[in-house]
Amino acid sequence: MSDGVTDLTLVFGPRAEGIGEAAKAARRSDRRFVRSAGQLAVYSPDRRPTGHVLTAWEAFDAFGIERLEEAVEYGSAILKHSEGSAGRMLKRRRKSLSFDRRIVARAASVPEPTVAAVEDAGAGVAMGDANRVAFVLGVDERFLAFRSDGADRDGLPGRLRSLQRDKGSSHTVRVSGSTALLFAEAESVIRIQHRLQNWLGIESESGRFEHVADYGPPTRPAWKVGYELAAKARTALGLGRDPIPSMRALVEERLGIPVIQAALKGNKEIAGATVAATDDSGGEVRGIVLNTLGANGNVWVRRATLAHELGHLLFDPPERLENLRVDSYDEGRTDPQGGNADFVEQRANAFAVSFLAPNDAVRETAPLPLTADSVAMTMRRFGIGKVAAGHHICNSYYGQYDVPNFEAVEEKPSDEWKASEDFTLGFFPLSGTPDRRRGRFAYLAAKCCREGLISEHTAAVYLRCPVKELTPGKLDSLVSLCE
Amino acid sequence: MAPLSALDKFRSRYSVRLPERPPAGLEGLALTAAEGARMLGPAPARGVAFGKPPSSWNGACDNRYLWIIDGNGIPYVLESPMQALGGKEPKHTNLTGGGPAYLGGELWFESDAKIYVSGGSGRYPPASEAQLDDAVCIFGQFGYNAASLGWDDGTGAAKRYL
Repeated sequence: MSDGVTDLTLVFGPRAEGIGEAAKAARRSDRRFVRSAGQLAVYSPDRRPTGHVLTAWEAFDAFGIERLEEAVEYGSAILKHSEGSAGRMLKRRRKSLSFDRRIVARAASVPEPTVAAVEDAGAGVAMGDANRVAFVLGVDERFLAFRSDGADRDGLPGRLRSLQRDKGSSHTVRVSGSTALLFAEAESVIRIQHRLQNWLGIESESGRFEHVADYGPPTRPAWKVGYELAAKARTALGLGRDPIPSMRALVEERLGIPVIQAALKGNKEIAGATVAATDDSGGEVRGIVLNTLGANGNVWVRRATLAHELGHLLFDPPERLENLRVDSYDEGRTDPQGGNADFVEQRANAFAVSFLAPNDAVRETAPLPLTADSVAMTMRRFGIGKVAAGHHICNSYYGQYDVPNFEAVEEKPSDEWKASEDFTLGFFPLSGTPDRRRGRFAYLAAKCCREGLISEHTAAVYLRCPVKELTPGKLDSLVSLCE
Repeated sequence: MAPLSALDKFRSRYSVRLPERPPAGLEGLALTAAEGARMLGPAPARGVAFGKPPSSWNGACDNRYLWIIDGNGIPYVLESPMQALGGKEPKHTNLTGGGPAYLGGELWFESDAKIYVSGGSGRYPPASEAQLDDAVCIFGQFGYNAASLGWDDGTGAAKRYL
């Protein structure tokens, strides 16, 4: 075994020649490894292994140099933690989320008996199937069988249970089973998207923001704090007072926050949610889930939903966000200075509208007297919906004038607005990839695969497609969709 | 079948191979009996250290022996630091002097007659599951109750844990 001095070319092949640092050697290596539920070996196609192929970088990052040395020294490295641990972990997670095997099988695109086999077969399980099941349950598939603690934390299951219990609170959404499953899958997307961004060296500007526990004393209500935070965020991002051309690009590309689009069929009243996932170092990373059903079909409403969730995500302390925070359309449509929203929602609502349309810029766009035209002009200029625009104009004039009558306003988003906010939901080169894994997630997966950071096997798990579909042409096409 | 004829049959069926990578430095030093290398003889084994294969990556793995099959028989050696190797542990090539062998692996003596055998070798890996099975049978011909750790289809390599 390791004597403390590793010849990196033995582990990573000739491309590691002259490199003294294992991580750099792993990055440069074109060697592949293959893992089963129980062990890891250097990939040799002549041996016809049936397991999951990994790049050297993936194997190194997940298991460390010692396991890779062991694989070279003994022909394979043991990964198994304990008998049947992978199956137990997945079963425990599934049960804690109250999912039956049928619903998991459908989401993972595997036959139902396969889910049972994955849970019961222990080390004999096919890794590809186990990885797909792990993905939809929000379990880090890299550490299946290797670690025993992956599904022990009670984050998402606990939060879902408490949401079901909070029937009487003002912040109540009854999350359906299918929605809960999407939130679980979103954990995987969020964790992996953050990981792939890191691997590609993509800088994020979200580190510029700190949580703000201030929701205002009675003399300074939460909506006022929301306006202040919006101004602060605009300054930090150098946005001035101009309209934001694409919230999607701002949130995902500049701030590095994953946005998952999902059709929440069982919860059409949900506009969006922030979901937490555990990152590779045990820390917390977050992303936003956008419901593609309901009012978000209008890009202006979608922008407001995204801005609202951004307000939560950038500024709410973790104890406010918990593992999952769900927002309904009703909460987002209220006047931030009125309505019954709790102070957390009130602050996020005010942040959202003022971030999209700074109050002083709104006054310039909609001079007095306030009419239906003022609403239409504000909608067009800042890309916000009519309810939001109507209330926001009035609030931007400190409530000194009546809310203009906006009911008759028929303004619709232009094709330009639609194009700037649309994700890759229309044409997509892989027909089997669900909406929730398209967009930037798919782009990052394809880019990492093309650059040799992840294998085709891994990309296929991420994109829920057969490995053979991931031809170089398809990868190029996926990358070019977002570049 | 007598163990030596079983070995001959094995040798006639499979090809001898040089190590997957040339030994570096003392990895090519042929260990002798004086340094602890032994040739497998009929069970029961005398003077061996008892141990058991690991059942997990972080489990105990005490008293692992390395073995190979070559033209002379089945030499084996305890994997522990050796003065002759500059304080390092032996490699499979220390059983061949860097020369050819049919395959190699790991070995644990649970008792003087009960053994566990794996094909865990990066230098002389079993070419196939069948070759490993045939090799483990030879240990049985020497009178040992020999349990193979088996084959892992997922990695296309010998299984290395219980």
